[in-house]
Amino acid sequence: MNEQHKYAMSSPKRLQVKLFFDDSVKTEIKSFIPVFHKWIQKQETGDLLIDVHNYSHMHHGPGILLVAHEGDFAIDLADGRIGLIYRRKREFSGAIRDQLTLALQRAVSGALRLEDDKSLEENPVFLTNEVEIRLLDRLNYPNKTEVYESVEQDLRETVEELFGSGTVSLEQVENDPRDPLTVRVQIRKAPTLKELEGRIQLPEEAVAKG
Amino acid sequence: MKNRSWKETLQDKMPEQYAYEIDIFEGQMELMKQDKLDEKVFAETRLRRGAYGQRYDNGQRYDGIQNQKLDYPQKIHKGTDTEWDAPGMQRIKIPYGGMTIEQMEALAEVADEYADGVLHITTRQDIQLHFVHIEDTPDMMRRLAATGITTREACGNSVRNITGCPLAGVCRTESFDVTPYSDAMTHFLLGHDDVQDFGRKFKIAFSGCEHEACGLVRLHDLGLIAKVKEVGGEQKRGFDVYVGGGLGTIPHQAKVLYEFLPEEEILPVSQAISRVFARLGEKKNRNRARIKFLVAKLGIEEFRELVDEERKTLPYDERWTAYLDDINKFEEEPVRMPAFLNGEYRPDGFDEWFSTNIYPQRQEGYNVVTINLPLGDITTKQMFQLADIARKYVGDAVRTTVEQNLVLRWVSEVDLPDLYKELKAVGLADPGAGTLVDITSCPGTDTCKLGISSSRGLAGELTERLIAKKESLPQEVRDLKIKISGCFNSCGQHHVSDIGFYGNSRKVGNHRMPHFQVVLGGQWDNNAGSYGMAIGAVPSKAVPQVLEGITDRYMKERKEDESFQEWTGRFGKREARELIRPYMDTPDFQEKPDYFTDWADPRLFTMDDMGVGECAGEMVSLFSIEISKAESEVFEAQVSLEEKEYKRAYDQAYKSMILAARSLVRTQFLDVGDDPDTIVREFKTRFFDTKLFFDQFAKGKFGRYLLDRYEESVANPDKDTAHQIVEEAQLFIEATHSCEMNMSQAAAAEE
Repeated sequence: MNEQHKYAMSSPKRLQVKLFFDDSVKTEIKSFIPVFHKWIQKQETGDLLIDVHNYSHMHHGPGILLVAHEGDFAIDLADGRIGLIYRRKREFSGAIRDQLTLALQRAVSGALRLEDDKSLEENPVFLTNEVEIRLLDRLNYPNKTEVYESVEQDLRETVEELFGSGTVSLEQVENDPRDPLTVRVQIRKAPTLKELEGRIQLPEEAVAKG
Repeated sequence: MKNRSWKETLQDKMPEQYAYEIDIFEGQMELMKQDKLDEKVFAETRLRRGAYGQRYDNGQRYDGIQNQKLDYPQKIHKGTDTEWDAPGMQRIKIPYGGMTIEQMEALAEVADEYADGVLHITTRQDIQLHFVHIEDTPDMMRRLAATGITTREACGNSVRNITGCPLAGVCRTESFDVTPYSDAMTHFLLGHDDVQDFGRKFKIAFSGCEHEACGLVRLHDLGLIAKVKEVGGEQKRGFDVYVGGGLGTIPHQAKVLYEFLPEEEILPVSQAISRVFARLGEKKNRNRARIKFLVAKLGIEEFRELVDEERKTLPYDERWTAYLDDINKFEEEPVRMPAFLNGEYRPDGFDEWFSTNIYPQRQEGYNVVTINLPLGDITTKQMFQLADIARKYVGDAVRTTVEQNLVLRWVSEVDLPDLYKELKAVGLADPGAGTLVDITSCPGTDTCKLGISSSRGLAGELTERLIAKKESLPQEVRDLKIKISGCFNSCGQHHVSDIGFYGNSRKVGNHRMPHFQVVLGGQWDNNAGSYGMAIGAVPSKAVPQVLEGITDRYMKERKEDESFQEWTGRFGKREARELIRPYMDTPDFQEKPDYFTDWADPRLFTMDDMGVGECAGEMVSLFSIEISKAESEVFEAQVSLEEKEYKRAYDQAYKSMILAARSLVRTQFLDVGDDPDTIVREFKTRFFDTKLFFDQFAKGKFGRYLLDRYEESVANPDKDTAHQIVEEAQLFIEATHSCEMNMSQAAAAEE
């Protein structure tokens, strides 16, 4: 069997995207706790939001976690870089491109909510020139170059649809082989979050599920 | 293309028994989804696999404005009033806290892919993962099983994780290393027939010495302290055996059952105790079902007599002593040569860390290093990084502790500065292990259905404040221990700390206010030698001031060398209550609205989110639990039939009949064992020949299915034969249910 085809290409078990904060804004991390509680009250993100968990005491941990049924949000501190992650966990069986589009939509929409939240003393500002994608499925998407190469085209085409053709560069992050396969996307001509939100076309399955 | 599965990938890497048990559990899940299994039976089954419920799993949550319905997609349950899709907790047993590097890495991987990327160390040396979907648990269990970890009986009414002193084998004051004994008892009692019919959970601990905190033996259902005694001119190993201790709502100190029990007797005696508990322990009232109530009711002398009698009747089991031949295999080999620090460079912060986080081993030149984990939490990434550090410095010598930390054993002293730097780089070099800033806390309202107040929220707040001012605190205060539980059930072990808190609430006007009961003067040493005194409840938000008030007064009034426990003993309950009285006042809502919210939670405080706890397990009969395994096996047989695997279907169907027959036989004869010949013989004698198994119309037809298959097995079954036995097995299981029901009704009528 060809090495490229040894790894199946259905959706990974979990798929995570991270949008980074602009470091110059120093929003107190615990101030996101009441913000996430408000999200639960409103239930407007498209997922069933369940609870907020405070991990701000942890070194480079998940920070403030908003647990949902389909996909969690977190003000994430991994690798010492604060940002918003959306981690899709369940209720989606489509191709990896669809799953990535959905995760990007949730992340962009979440970032906009945070930038616009009136209750925060200092709102975060998101960078749109960089996105980190993680495929949390060590069985079907092990952290190997050949696996990255086999999935690179799907990921590239999906992010290009959003950020514009020819404006993105993708690279596999050289991390610990035990970590999930991680891809860094650099965007040369960064659009605004609003522009991104307007461009995302959700896959049919996601639309049907709200 | 279909993705690969962990089941196929790991089939040859898992111990056969572990793999089989996980398959059975997966089958039971499938039956539950098809509404073919009783909810209570499934709940107890999943608990015995360590898959526990979590807060809000009844589909309701107060969101700060209203009680919100959490509308999960699948309209099925995994227990009474427990939504299938609701995130749950997975408890993973780590016997005596011992982990290999391979296991650490597997734990990190599953936390990343099935939970929230955080591993939580518990006060029983387990590891817990939160926000796990029930459908992910079989694969998670497989990945852990491939490294030798089982989650079996991590919850439910059975023997929980057996704890042991994390210093065992390297301790300067122990009688001998208790590791091999705790390991042997873990494996002997795991899944043992005699621990399947308890009314409540059963906790066991091992200690190497009497006067240290060690394994906290005196607060356990069964505790063993290592002793060496001269017998016939020879030094003989044995244990002081304690029984009937426990915290919970009503704490009990364990009683001495035997002053010196020879090492070869500890397994049969634990089996005898289990039988007495299973037979005489309370089954209906779960609030009085722990063994402590049985011991208190009977008195220790009568309890001892019953155990002695039971011990005499036990059929011999070679496992009782077989492990003693192999006891040396637990001796750890250090990775590095021993050498002392001798004027080497000491990085910033090293000396403080060295003063609190290092324990010199009895083996010269080696040390135990404690990794002080905030609130017992470690990220997936940190676990990988710690695995690398362990590989470099100590190998597999890593253990969890009941103070929710990790220890690295066999660190050569000369390596300590470099180790410190590497731990610091990954955020694992917090000083203050075992001191005031190293607060123990149960999960409380964060995830527990029984939590009343936010124990983790309070612990986090106190830790932050105490770290900020630790330089100004006198040493006597820095050495105190704080332990916090979210309710009276004591999972945070608040009874055995200098200053303990447990959650409750008070009504103030039209609102509820989170409170904590203050408990002073518990003893951690002497294996949790005595319990503290509750002196009154204060608002949760007042606890930082209460703590300051207590420690200030202690420093002002203590006599020279007087411990906190001695001081509180001298102080008295009445005086202690006066001390906290100024903080007991409850402001009204308009005056201090933040007093009506809990730490790190902006919602108005409520107790509406509490649910029915699963600590007690479900009260289901031994028969119900055991027959569900037969049902799962026949389900697997049906799947095999569908997949045209006729031989496999035949074997599984036959096995399901044996399992069903066994579950019935064990209602009369607990010691039937696993041998199919014995099971069939006993089934025939007790149920078939007596016609107890007979159906009103079909007579002995269903029982014959088993007897015929037993007498004449088919080596290469074709499709029809396989189909026939699968049908027969299904009918046999139904008939087993009917038989058991008839017998139960007859017994009830007689009563």
